[in-house]
Amino acid sequence: MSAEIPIVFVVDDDRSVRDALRRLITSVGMTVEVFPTAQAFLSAPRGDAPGCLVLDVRLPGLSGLDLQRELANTHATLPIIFLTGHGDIPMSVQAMKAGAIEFLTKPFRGQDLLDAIRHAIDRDRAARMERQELAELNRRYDTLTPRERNVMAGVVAGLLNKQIAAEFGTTEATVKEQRGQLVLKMRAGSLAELVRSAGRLGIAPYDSGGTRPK
Amino acid sequence: METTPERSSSALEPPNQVVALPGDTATLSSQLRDLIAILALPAVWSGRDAADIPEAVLEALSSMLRLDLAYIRAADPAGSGPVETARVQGRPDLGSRGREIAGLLADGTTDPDANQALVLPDPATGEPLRATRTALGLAGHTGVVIAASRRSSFPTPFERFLLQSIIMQAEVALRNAALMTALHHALHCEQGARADAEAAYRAKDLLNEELERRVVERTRQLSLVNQELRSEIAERKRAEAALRESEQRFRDYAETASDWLWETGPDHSFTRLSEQLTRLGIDPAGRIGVTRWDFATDVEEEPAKWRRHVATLEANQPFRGFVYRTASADGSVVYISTSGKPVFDADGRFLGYRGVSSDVSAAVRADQVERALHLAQAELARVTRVTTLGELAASIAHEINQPLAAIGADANACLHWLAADRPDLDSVREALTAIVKDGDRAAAVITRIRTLLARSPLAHEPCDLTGVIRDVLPLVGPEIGRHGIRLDTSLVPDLPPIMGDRIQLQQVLLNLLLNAAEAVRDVPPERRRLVVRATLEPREDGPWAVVAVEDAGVGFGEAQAPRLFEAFYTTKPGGLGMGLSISRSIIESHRGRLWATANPDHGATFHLALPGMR
Repeated sequence: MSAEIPIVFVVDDDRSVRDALRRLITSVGMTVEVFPTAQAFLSAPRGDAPGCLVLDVRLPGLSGLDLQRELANTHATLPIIFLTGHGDIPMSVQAMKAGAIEFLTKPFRGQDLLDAIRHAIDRDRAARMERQELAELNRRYDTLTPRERNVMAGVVAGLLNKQIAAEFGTTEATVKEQRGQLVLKMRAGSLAELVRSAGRLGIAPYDSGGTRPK
Repeated sequence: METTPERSSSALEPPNQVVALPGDTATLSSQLRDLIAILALPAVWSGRDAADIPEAVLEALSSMLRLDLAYIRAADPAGSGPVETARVQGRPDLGSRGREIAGLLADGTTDPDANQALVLPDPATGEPLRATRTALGLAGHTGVVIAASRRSSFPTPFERFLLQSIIMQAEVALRNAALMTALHHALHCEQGARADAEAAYRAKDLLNEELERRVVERTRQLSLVNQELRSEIAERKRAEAALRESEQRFRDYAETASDWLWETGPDHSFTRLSEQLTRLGIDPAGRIGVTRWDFATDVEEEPAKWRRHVATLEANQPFRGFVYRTASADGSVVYISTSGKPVFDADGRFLGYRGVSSDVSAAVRADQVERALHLAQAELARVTRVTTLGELAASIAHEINQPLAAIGADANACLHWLAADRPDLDSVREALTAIVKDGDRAAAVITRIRTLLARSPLAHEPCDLTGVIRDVLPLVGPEIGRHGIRLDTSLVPDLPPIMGDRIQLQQVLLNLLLNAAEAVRDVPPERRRLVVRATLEPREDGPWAVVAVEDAGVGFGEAQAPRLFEAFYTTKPGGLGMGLSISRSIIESHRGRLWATANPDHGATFHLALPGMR
């Protein structure tokens, strides 16, 4: 997946800027797609490759900030680099708060834009990896039986097999067997890895009401 | 009054006498008429003055008894001497001569025993007259009546009865008259007192009237005096004005006299200076042998002026009103205006200059103040222009930044391509072509802005207003487009050329368009529309060019209408309120008009009318 060719999207209403950005980005071997308006970008089909969006703030019709909001609403995670004709502080603050990677003022140095693009793509790539790992963990967690999920909660809470058995009214041998099963299913190489996976999945460690006061 | 009973008895005597009545009815009826007449006498006499009564009694006696003489003497009821009067038949002239007649009748009138028949001589003829004498009042104290006739039968018993009756009536009348007189007198006294009071009142009234009259008179006099005073004041003012004028004239003469004369030699150094120069605190002696530019203090500041002046001198040309700055002895700044003409000798050899100078410091300072004021105004106008452009900064920055950003990106791309082992020259060429194009684009923007910001106003020149509109539209284009505003133009092709400052007119149009764009920015999208119309309007003095900028924006209220063009009036949060004010002054300096109208539905229209060139 990480081997996929990243793609840079450019939305700018000024034709010469748009074309120049296309030439600059292709000159460093990246793939680029340019759009004159936000609507044109939204209606174009996008692949699953990592990438970023270079977006002019002031656009006719749907503005750059409008597009940012629109993408957030559709859970699209494309990192955005904003370009503006003049340093508009309130607008840049708004854009950064809404998750923009970078806010560049025209005229910008070409290298700064390329650095920002690379940084954005790295971020997107990492985020994508993160999302894929989480999806895999979820897929593995889904294969656990209810009892195995309980035992996992007990294990990540740091309880001994004996304590877990006492909590759930079973034998220590049964807990030991179920524990072996769930470690196998979660493909956890160590207890530490299992705990980390549980954390990423948002599984709350078991809280034994009998032994600790609430 | 106490005498009345006695007299009454006396008066009643005759009726007691036997009166022979006439036998015929005609005489009887005549006598009855006489009696009735006698009864009527008091009524006839009533109200008459007491002094008139004896006369009335004689009248009655004479007519009724056909007497040749009748005389009466009666005491005046008022108390003065007795009244005597007589009547002689056929001699009316003797009426007023009662006393003479009384003298003739002396016996009859003085005899205390009256009421007897006697014979008297007729005062007119001396003929003997048969007469009766009857006393009036008590024992004749009030008077006597004598009646006489030539007839021998006089007095018949009836005539005696009539006589008695008449005299009785006369007595009553006289008593009444006396009474009336007394009463009248008493009344008169009272009336006199009253009259005095009335007189006093009247006097007071008169006094008041007099006072009033005098007040009126005085007032009239005062107002006359006032008028005189006024005219005198006016006259005095005129005199003062005349005096001032003459003083001014003298001052002018004096000041003219304070001008000083000078002479310079062939080397332009002063050879002679008149004494008036000392008034400026400058010692003429100190200036001898030096040139004008040796003591002028503005040679370094204004070298061009001095170069021209020296050139004039070198050419031996006359000069007039050359102004330069110097300092008086106490160091204060003095401006001197000088005029001179070259002097030549008989052989035409240049000897130097002769001329006159004057102190013009006051005038120059006033001029400087005025110029500073003008500069301040011009600077304010310029600042406003810049501020307006400041509001345009976003748009302008965008206009310049776009090509710059493109140039930067393309140049970077070129470097990347050229760094490759086998450079993609086609791509490099494409990028370089784009760079050239964007460079031109940025330069064009800069040029436009530079003209707009130009500091020195250009002189009025023939301008094509359509061209001015076309200059401005690209500047506001991005601002308008960004807010989704539609701009329509309707420009007639035959707009008359006008005389004007193109830059200033651009400024006005720019201002109107930006205002319009701002007015529609926050209204529903379908109303975000501007129309620029240019039309030709024939007027009395020829064709005018009229440009209207129409918007469907927020418009202005009735309350705002009269203030729109006021300086520092603004409805915008960040506005200076100078835009429309300056726009109007610019248009008015072009002999044009700038005004605003509210549109019937939405928004406002600003109209700009300029007279066509002639």
